[in-house]
Amino acid sequence: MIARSYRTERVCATLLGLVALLVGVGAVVLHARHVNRPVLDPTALDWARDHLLWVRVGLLLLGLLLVVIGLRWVWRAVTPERHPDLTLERDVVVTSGALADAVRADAEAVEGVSSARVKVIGEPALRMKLTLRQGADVRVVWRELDGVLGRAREALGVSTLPTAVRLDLAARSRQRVR
Amino acid sequence: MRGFLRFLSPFLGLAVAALGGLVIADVLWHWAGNGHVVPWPRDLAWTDDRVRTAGLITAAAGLVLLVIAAAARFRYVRLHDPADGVVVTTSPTALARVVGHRVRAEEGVSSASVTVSRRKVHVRATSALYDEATLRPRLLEVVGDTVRGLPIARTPKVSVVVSSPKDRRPVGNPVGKPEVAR
Repeated sequence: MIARSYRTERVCATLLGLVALLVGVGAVVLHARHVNRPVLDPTALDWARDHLLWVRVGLLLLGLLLVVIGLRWVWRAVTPERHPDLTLERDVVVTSGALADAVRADAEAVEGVSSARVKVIGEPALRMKLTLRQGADVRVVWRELDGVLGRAREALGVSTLPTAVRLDLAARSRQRVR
Repeated sequence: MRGFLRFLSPFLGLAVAALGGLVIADVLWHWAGNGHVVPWPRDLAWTDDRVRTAGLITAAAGLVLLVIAAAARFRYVRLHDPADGVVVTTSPTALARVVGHRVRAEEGVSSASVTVSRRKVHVRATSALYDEATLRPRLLEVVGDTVRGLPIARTPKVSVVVSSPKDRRPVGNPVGKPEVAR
């Protein structure tokens, strides 16, 4: 499996965690310092009443922002990743599976590559995972990658093909002594 | 941990969206002159024990989230980009396998373990034939050549430790003569 990026989930969880940690620590510190004032401070409430319209608009915008971020987070988490087909000139459609298979076969023909997995993740954009054989020359494979992607670019008629490549090296096969 | 973060994500997203919805509902309800949707505790002071309890729970939940987010990180070593828009990475494990394979092929190395991070490659080799002073410079050169031979964007530092029975001398007997029992 080629895992998709977890950046969005990680960034959202980190921000939420930071906010929760700061609010929690702040409450504990103010409690420990015996701040004998209400949590809903009358001074702050008076100021909010004096600027009621702006406070309401600000809170509405904040609420809307939280709703949008929350729903986008949910949507991203529950929907499977899209693998779009590509439409070339004259209404020719290349399915994502066909493109992925073609690039995979080309990548597996590179010396030192034992297996390749390819997914189309954009229009056009690829994500590849290449597993190399023991003793494979990583620099040669790395150099050949440009050729593989160059042929894909040429076939699709595009000047750039954004691609995330992950190189992995197969573990040593265990040998049984008889 | 990545799977757990993925499992947790819809619930966290829903919680954030619900919080936003509650803020909007409360403001609109109050604007319409119907009071508040949320029963805000106006008499709650910072010295109240409930504040400390809520604060501790919130801080602990935040810390747990930060740990989960940090543990779900992909660990990778970035290689040079072979073309515009192409990003190539490899795992520290794969890099350790390349280095380990090369070190174990050296004469006199009986076993080796390699740990790799973005900034450092650390090799721990054992040898029954050579002592550290003999083997370490050779392994440093081999590992350095191997790492420099890879198209890594930022070349990591290399360190080698050799463990050999030849370096172990009994305490108080530096010349290695067998001690005679009296």
